Amino acid sequence: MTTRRDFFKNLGMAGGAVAAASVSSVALAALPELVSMDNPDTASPLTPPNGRPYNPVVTLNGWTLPWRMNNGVKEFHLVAEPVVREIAPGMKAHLWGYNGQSPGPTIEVVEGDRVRIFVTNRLPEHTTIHWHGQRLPSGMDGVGGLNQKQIPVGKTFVYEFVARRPGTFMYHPHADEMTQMAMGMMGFWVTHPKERHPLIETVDRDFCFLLNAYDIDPGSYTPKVNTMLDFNLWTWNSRSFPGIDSLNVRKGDKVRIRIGNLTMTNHPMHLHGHEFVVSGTDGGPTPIGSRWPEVTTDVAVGQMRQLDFLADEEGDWAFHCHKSHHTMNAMGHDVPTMIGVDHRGVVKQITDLIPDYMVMGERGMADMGEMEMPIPDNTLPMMTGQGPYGAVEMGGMFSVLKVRRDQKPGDYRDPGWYKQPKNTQAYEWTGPVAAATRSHDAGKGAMRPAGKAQSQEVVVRKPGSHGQH
Amino acid sequence: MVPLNKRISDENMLRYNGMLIGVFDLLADARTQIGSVNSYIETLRDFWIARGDLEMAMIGKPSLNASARATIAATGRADH
Repeated sequence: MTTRRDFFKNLGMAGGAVAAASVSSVALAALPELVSMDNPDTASPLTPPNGRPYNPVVTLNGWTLPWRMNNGVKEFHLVAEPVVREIAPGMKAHLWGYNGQSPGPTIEVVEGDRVRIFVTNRLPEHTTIHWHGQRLPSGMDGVGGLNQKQIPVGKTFVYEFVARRPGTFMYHPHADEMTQMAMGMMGFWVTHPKERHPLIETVDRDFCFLLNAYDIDPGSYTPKVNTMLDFNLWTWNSRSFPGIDSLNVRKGDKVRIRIGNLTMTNHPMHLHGHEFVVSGTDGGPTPIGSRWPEVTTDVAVGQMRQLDFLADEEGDWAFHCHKSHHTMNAMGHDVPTMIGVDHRGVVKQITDLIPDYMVMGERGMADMGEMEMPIPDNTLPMMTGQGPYGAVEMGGMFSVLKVRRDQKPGDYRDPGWYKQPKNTQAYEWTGPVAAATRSHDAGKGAMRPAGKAQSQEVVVRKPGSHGQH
Repeated sequence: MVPLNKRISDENMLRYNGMLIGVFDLLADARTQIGSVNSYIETLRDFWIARGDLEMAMIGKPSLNASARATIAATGRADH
């Protein structure tokens, strides 16, 4: 995993040590190796090379940070730094993250592990890390000013605690938190149970990702950190459709999906074709009696949800946030609705003024998904993606669960599009279609009697005159 | 100003294509652009009038012969 870039980074570290003679080389040698990632692909699960064994998670478009075992303590090295993250092919964002990517690498440990995390700050301002949801000494909780001094620029701080409770957690700064989270600083944390747990079922595939959102103006690269709600990029692990990898599983697999929400709004996460239960939150596994089957579960702000289900239905199944504006990429929320506005008559006049003008939106907005039009640089089309049967017309928080009978255990590769068995796909009806029978009954209760149909136009009273009163 | 406005118009066209702005923004921008071309022409006119005045002032007291005076009166500028 050591890339050329890492080599130079490490070289840079060593160079720094030579320059700053006051830094003892022993102290530097005590730092775990800096591992960095230079691509946004989903890495294979990291099978633990030492310590208690566990079934590793797969981070969607992310990776798990390797550790060093030092006298029974798992040592990790996180480096907070500016990164360039590909949101989807065709768009790169200038974010802040950890170890080369945003979000940072997933940290996986086992319940009872003593964990030591070295955090080096290569940001232009101070930072801290808060270990969301963990039981730990107050002084390790990472709220700058409250629990500890901020980590100054260029310094390395050490966090050390025992991962006391198994579950799904995340980490993020608690120093200039609004800015640093808006810039993409966050990561996933999974604590595996040390032995069989009555409420934690063993699963075949375990996926995890964080929900995050950015406001990056079309044509620019850096998120607007002061945006509170009106984001234009709704992402999973700082990726948006069609940049999000699919979740590829074998038919009959028990599957777990862990989701953490670090956006500013809730996300009803909806899975097609299967029912799941919420088997855990960031507060731990849920009691069996509190679980009920669902196909959509809301993940509120700052919450984590762990979904368990049996993938027993073959096919390509959409998995997305059910807020339909969140399955769009950059869009203009102030664009007027043109549906039903027949403005073909004025097209000639408009094109005289604006030669490249084209009518859009009068029959709905699907034009956008089907046509490839030149748009501003470094911008993803509002709705895009190509499936086997045409435009998928999606963006943002959307991916596909691919269930295949021939997906080998442990193989996370994309099997391609699902081939529908004969006669199992919606088809066109070519026979006659009768006109619908319409009721003329006004209805019961408080409805007005039907009587004579009244033709009434809406009377618009324009403001400005007070003649009526 | 005019090339800058042209660039803004081109970029707005791209934004319209991406459904980031509506047709009314596009029309408002076209109006702005027309306005900027008009004000360019007007500014150019003002420049030439001011320059004519300046050159007339530089020539000094009108001790010109009748034909030169007629030229100035007709064109508003003193030709060389």
